[in-house]
Amino acid sequence: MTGDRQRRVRDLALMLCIGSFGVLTLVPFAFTLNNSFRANYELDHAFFGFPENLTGLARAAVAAISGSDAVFSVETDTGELVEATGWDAAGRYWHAATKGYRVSWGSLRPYMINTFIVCGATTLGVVTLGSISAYILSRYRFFGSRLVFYFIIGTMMFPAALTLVPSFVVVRNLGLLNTYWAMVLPYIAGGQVFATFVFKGFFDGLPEELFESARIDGAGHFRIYLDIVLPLSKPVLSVVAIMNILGTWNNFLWPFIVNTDGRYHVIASGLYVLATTTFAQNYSSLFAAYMTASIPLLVLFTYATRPFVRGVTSGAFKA
Amino acid sequence: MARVELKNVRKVYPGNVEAVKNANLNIHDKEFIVLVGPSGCGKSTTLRMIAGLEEISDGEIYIGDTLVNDVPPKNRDIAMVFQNYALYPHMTVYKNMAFGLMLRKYPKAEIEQRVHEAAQILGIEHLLDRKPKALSGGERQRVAVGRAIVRQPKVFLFDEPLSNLDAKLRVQMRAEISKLHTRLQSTMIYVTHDQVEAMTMGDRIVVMLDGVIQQIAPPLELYHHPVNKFVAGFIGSPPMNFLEGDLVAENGALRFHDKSHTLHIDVHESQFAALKHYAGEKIILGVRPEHFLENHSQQAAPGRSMTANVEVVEPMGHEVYLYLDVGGQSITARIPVGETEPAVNKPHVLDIDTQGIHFFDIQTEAAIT
Repeated sequence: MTGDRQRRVRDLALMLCIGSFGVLTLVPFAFTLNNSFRANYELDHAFFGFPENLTGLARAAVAAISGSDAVFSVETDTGELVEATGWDAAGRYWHAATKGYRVSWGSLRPYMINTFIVCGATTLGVVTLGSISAYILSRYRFFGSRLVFYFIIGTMMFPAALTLVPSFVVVRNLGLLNTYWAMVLPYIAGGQVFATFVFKGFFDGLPEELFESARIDGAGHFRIYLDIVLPLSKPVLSVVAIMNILGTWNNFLWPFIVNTDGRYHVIASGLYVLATTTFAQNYSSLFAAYMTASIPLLVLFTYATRPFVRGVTSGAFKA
Repeated sequence: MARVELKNVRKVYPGNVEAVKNANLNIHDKEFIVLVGPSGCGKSTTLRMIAGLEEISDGEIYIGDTLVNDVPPKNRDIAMVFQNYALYPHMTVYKNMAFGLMLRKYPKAEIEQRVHEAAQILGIEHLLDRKPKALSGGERQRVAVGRAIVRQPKVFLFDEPLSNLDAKLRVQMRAEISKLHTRLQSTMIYVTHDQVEAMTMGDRIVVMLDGVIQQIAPPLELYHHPVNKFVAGFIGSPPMNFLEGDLVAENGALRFHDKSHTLHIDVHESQFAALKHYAGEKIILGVRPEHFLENHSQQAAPGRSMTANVEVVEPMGHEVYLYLDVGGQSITARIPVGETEPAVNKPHVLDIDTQGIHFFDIQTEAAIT
């Protein structure tokens, strides 16, 4: 019994500890989400507090359900107060609560589109070139192949800040400033190192007989890569793709400095621009913009977690 | 279909490791040949050189009349079945079997016909839509064989294809591959380390050791006339017993005395001519376990029987394996279940079929014939 009690106490302590970390992680997110539904005047008065429009929505919904004809005063987009009852009031409250999202979306949309283009092109480039490089390094035995691999891996040792200025000079001299290429090409070059490393490790672990069997079946290197290696690499492809999307999505400094005229800003740099200019005083829209910016990554992680975990742990256990 | 010929083939790996030394082998059209030997003897390397998966360091390999030294595997018109099946895990059984044909751009209808024919032969038609992970070991093996059959190659290569199966399934698949050979009438080269597989399947067997071909012969010839001590010991189960001793000329006859002087065997007349030069010299006697015969009277007869201490008795049903000690040397005897009942730690008398015994040179270990 004593042992059981000790175990229960230990489990409880562990859960409290993990729970605290979980709460600490979620607090900033919850804070942002909460504030994104608050009006600017609320934020001016108190930084913490529940959104008035959402409490109003709850009250109006309760009134509608209970059949009460209570009248609610709701603020419109133009700042006027209108009176409404029941579900109409609830709808108006929702409209008012989400004003920040509507306002911010107009400014955020071009940045979002730019981000999708840059992320898509980068991921495609990194996955394609990284897997081809890894296939060559894994399957071809040529003089110095190991040296080439170590050289590629060695470039991971250089901090990104160290290459910032030279990279900028190269991009500027190539005339790529203020284009998608200014982001896509350096990202592909940079992302390849990690991708090659991960892909090569995976390809090295594929059974030699699969390649030999394919060779006897009549497949050349390209067919083996396309028909055998790539389909078998789905888990690791998703790892590389997700890591790459994450890195590209969150990168702030590079897009900020190569987009001197601001036309091709992506989410991270665009949010900074919005926070310091358009939404400098409009916290409600800024918080809404932050939330909107994180939705695509949330969706990605929701749907890609399983293959991601499978990819990360692939090779750890014998199939 | 085609013959396969190896002329002075060598394989040297980096570090000057010679895996195959000067192999010469002529495999006839439609022949089922088995390469057998212990691990590291070079049998798989030889097969892989024929397949084109290993470059040869020296020599020539012909498939049909074509020198294939520099021909890539896909152009050698061969099909290979691997030890671990090497099925493509992401493809269905149908696609696994059709893949080689699709790459060779066969018409769709022909691919379908060939795959279904092969599947019918192997009894795997109901598995065509499954993926390899949904198959048992035996079924995977059949698919691997099916993948080879659909190609209708000149030569089939098998690299220890039954090693991963359990004992019962192995016996079953052994018979099926033999039947397949009879049905397809094609050249098959089969690598195994299991001498039972070699003996039961091969038209001829190639015994290898340390990269050297020791003997090429039909199964029974290998069994009855091994060229050296290694082949004699490798072929047959339980293996041949070897006893070192002296060959002595006595009263116009030749008699073998083992080194402990507890075993004395008269040499059969048929072996006189070959052995007379060894009189007075040390020699190795080889006796297969089945060449010990039951002695009903349990009375030792000088020159053709022995008395040994029984260490272990293994009843196998229709026969008994006896593990005996003869002057400090362990030997195995295989006798039918009979009237005598050998008891552990008791002396037991066994006769020896002197016509079936073998002698080997103690220096070269070559058979003396």
